[in-house]
Amino acid sequence: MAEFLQMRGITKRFPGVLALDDVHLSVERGEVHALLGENGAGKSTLMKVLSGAYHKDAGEILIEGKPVDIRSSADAKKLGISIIYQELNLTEQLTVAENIFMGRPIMRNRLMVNWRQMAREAQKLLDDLGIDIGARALIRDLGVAHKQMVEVAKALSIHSRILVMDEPTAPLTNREIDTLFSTIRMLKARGVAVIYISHRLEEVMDICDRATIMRDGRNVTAVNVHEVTIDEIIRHMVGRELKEKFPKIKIPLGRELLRVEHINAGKQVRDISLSVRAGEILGIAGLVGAGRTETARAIFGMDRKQSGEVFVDGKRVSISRPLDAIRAGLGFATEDRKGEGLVLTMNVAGNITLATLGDFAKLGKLSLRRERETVREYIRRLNIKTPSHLQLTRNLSGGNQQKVVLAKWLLSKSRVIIFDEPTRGIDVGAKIEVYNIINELILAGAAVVMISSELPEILGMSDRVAVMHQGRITGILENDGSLTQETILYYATGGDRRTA
Amino acid sequence: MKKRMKILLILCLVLGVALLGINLYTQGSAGRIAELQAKIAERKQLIAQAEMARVLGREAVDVGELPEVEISSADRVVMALASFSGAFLVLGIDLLIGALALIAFHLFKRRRGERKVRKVSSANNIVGILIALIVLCLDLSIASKVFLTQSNFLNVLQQISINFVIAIGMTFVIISGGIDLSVGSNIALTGLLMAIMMKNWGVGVTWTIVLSLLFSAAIGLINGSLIAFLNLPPFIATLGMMSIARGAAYTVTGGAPIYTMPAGFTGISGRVANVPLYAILIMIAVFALGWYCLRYTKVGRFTYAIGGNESCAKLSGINLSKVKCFVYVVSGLCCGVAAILLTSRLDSALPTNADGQEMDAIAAVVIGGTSMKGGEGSIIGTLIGILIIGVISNGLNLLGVAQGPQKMVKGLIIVVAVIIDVLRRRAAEQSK
Repeated sequence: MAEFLQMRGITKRFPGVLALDDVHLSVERGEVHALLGENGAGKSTLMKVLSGAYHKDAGEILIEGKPVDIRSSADAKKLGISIIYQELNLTEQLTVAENIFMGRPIMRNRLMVNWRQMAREAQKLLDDLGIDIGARALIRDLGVAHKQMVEVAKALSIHSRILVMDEPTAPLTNREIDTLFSTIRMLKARGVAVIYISHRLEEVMDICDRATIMRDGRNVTAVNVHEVTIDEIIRHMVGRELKEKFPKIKIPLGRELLRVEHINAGKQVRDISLSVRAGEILGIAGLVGAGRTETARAIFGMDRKQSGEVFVDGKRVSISRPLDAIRAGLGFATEDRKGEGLVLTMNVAGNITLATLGDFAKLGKLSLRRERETVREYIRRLNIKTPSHLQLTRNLSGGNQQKVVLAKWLLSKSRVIIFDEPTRGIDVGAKIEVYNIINELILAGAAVVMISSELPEILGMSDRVAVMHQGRITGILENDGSLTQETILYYATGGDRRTA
Repeated sequence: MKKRMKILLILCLVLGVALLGINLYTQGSAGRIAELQAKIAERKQLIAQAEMARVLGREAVDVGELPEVEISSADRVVMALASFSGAFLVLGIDLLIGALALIAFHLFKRRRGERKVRKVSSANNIVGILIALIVLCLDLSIASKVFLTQSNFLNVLQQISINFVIAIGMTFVIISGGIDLSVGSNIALTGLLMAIMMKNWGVGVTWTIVLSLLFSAAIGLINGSLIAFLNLPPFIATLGMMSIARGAAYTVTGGAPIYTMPAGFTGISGRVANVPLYAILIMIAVFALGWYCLRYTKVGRFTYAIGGNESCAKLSGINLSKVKCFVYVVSGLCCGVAAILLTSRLDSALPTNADGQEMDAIAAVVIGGTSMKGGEGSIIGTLIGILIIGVISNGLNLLGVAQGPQKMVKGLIIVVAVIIDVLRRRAAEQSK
């Protein structure tokens, strides 16, 4: 039997690069097919070819054995191809039903929209998927997980036969991931072909049937997920053995560099007290919405604190804006790369030196030469893949963008750096590079606070773990080797065993 | 070659030849048209005389007996076309050059193949508008014998000087993600203030200049403060200021203009050996300062950063309020300089001065490739944008195009410039 979707010999050239070179992909109905590879391997490009965002230079796409011509996203939609991107494509101010039927509302007559029926049909779609959301709820009131479900419902409402999910679990907590997976299984039962892009290989092993692995724009291999181990997949992805996933180093701890006491800020940050010492990595774990990012933002002065005190290196500092925090020696690498981490319209050099530009000025004149030299050094040190320090950051891949954000804070010589989801959406190889950068920092005597939703990462890298639940710290745990994911989850759900 | 390119090429060629043909044809029948027009004028004059005679009660020629001027419908068309003949010539030449450029671009691309890597997109952008400027100058020099003369060149420089200075300030504002609609009113108000200081209060020229620059900068500072500290949208804040300053300009003199400034002041726009030396020096200074500031100073870099991503800029420890105030103060200061140039050139200050000036400045900045979304743009781009606008209005004047069509042409060019920018961005997205 012919495969449901076949992409054959897909080739895509960009000026100066061969992004896809003779790539094959075939997916059957009712299959969850993983598309794996490091950042820049060509996964996204391939999916953009499938969705009509890019035109292929060579190759063909067949659906049910028939060649199809996809020249625009409208073509892709007609063929039943839907993509759920990492950045969700919903209008925040509108309701769930309006988003699901965006662009093709159910009409009462030629002029009037039948709101009631639209809400009813949307509700039915949601109920069928077992999603507990009201069709009349506003998107902006929903959590990320629910928003994603709305995207799935939207895809189903246009009778999608092929659904591509790009890193769907990155912003989700474990419990939400379970819900997503049961939804995916339901899609599978309905005969939808799901292409699943993820960097979390554990999940791939869990939910996927087969996997196509790409490297440098080429196919490496296609495997049956149940017949291989994670290590084998990683080996295919990076083309080399990765010794250890978490290069944890233990060094003797120094002075206490950051202590915050009884910080309150809004609903999400309640009476937070924590401290971190030189050479230490403090992990902050918790479910989405537990207030971890908000805590970091409050400490850093991005959001207003209602009360509480911050001590840096034993001295009380008043931080009412990020500038105060930076002057006090703090750094904050945000989780929201595109929204807050980078100025995408600026080049690599401009972004890296943004927080420390004063160091490159003499009598008010910037020394572009000195800036260039420093930036080049950091590009080398962090192994940032960019044609030049003048490349615009929006043209870099996710992992390299993240490294630019890190470089900015490394350059700032901050003594305490808060990393919010430092490895979100970046590939295995780059993750290890990021961990090594963090290690370098603590070796140099800095203190690190690392917020992460990935429990293996928290367990693999932290010395201590602060667990948050509904804006409060429910436990600060010593990571002495006996700490388990279950214990963290127990505290993350408020210490209530029934929900843990 | 892509299909779309081919269609474009053929379109350019056909339209270009057609327009040139029309031009030649109307030129060819110029004698006949002149004859017809003379006849029409003569008849109109006779009718007018008859009317006059009738009013005065004298005996008059019966108008009904005057012979109608016979004009064939073909001649009517030719006459209508003839009034646009200059525009047709320029457009026709433009289209032909466009066609040649398309062919050249195609050959170039085929030769270079895949090797070409786009490194800095803004450079590409500037090359594009620079070519547009060169083409523009080329066909204006074909269309008009006066265009390439030295005196016309100096005229253009003098004409663009006001817009030049303002557009440089506007570049800062737009790169920072804002907009300044109050520049025209600021110029008018500052101009009046200068006139009042010199004429009524007897302040010396130097002090007048210093104080009015401070005044125009203060207007900018108010704009900036409203935007930075009260979080007003720049459009609203400066729209309000536009109206307030214009209203104040009418109020201070009761709407009356002030004439004749001291000689030391009008000398600023005077000519040395027929060259508007000081105006040119001022332009060069403003340009150099603007360019240096955006490229070599912290605050210049921060202007790009807050325009590109305000939250990231804040998170990186940039004092947003300071930078925002800075850009509006720069814009205000530029208005002050422009007010000096304008008032000294006109030798008078009017409350209606520089009305609508903000639009020309914004147009120059946008044509120069600065993104209205902020974060991208350059002073050099703006320089070319200003030159394009200046050369176009000069050229249209030389070709005898009336003010109405001139405005239409300018509007069209702005829209086309933005369309090209949008298409270019889309292409860049595609090949990312």
